[in-house]
Amino acid sequence: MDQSQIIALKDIESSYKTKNHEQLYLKGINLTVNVGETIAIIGRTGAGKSALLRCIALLDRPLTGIIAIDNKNLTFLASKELCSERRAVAYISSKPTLLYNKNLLQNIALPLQIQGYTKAEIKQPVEQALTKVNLEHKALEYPSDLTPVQRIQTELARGLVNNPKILLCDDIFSGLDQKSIETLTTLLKALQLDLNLTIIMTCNDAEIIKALCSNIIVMQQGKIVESCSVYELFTQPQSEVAKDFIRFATKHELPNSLRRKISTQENPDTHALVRVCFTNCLSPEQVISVALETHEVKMNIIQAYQERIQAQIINIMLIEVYGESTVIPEVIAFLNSHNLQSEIIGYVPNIN
Amino acid sequence: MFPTLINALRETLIMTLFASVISIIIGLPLGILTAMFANTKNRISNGFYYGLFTLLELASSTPYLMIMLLFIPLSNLLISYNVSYTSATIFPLATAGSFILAQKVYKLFITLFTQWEANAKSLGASKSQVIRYILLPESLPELIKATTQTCGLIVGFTTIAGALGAGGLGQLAIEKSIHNPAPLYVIACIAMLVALQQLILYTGTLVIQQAQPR
Repeated sequence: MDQSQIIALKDIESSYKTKNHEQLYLKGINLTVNVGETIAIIGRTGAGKSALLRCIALLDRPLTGIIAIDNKNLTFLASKELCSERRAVAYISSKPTLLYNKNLLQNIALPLQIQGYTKAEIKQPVEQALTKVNLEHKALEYPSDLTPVQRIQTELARGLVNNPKILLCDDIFSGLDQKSIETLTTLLKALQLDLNLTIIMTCNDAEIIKALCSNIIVMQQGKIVESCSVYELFTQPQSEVAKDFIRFATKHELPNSLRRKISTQENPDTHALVRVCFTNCLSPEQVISVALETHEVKMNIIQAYQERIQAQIINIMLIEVYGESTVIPEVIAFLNSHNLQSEIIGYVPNIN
Repeated sequence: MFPTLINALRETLIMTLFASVISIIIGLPLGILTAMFANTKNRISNGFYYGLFTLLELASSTPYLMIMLLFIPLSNLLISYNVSYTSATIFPLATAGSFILAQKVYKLFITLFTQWEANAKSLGASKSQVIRYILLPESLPELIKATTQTCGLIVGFTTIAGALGAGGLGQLAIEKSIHNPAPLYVIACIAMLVALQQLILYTGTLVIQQAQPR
């Protein structure tokens, strides 16, 4: 097995029992994750995002399939051994469960206490964990005095005290204000770099994903329908769910007048609508003008916008292309060959 | 007047105190045990769970007077061995108290447990560790509250027991209002019962304040 590979799921199926039959909620999941990746799982409610996280967190035993973490097969371990293996994985859910009758230090000490360490042994790692999440000034306060984001930070610290390799965040950003989200993303980013953590989170907020994640998994009805880098998803969404996600995320969609008329059929009196994506390192104007010179087509830019994904910038343009039906594919091929990723998204009737 | 009242109060206190202590000793573990057996995949512990759960439901929804009646054979047996009426009543009182407390503890634990399940598991805690390190400290104020509420209920039960001849303030109040009317006695009995009830609840509140850090 690959050294850098930390999580490997193979043919995972998971189900719950209803009255008459077994309902599958994870179907044939195959997934490998490398050390240091930050992965977002997107999908609609009930698509199995949380179920997948719970599976990786070893909380639910799958029906069939193999879960390997750090190249160790954990599917057939007895519950007692699982208890210790779970410590390599920190799981944080949207509803923080803290001990409300204990202060932060005692809360964070909980996992170590459970493992039977003495008070003297616990003190140092707990304080370190608290410093890692920037809450050292709140050490003696109680969870009820904290803001929601601080409660999540506390829970993070409690997860980190076991020195995990993987951090699973189940929807931790929901219900937080913008400033809190910023605090949390900055913190997660810093933690990931410091501790070389592998982070997997469920999240449907494009801004957070763009700021934090390298890869993305799209789920639909218990299956992984798309798994690619965030950059790829924004430039070439494949599945319906991903396209919807991009549409909502970028807030850019076809003008109403076009959307009503668009069809997949080409007619003599239609023209093509082409989506062009390119990164900032190119000069598209030149390529497009060359395309115009060498092919007998006319172009009309109807939309253009920029998307920032961490250090990368993606430019996306929507272009109307008028011309012979045989020429248009040539133009597309020409653009593609010059690193302008282009695709025909439909045909719109000409206005005469 | 005073000696009669004091004697009745003493009997009520004995019944309440012993019944409460036994209820706590039996009820708390019984409630925790039921919660522990819940939601397991093991067939044996599942059986235990349904058995205990049904027992708690049945016992805590039986009216206290009926429990007293069920215990009459045992009471008669004890009395034939020269045990006082008051002491013999402690058994039905403790039984009712135990089941009611167990029911409350079970409900408390099961809600807290579902809330904590995923996180506790991911912290690497076994079921007994979850109870020891998470559920017990976290539910302590609520446990104390449930306990004082049950003790308050037991005070009420002693008056029903009094109607069946167990002694205490309940019996005195019945005697002095039906057979041998003396309103002053009745009012004194009511005042004492209310005071006792309030004292128990107030003590509970005080202890909770001590147990809670805030």
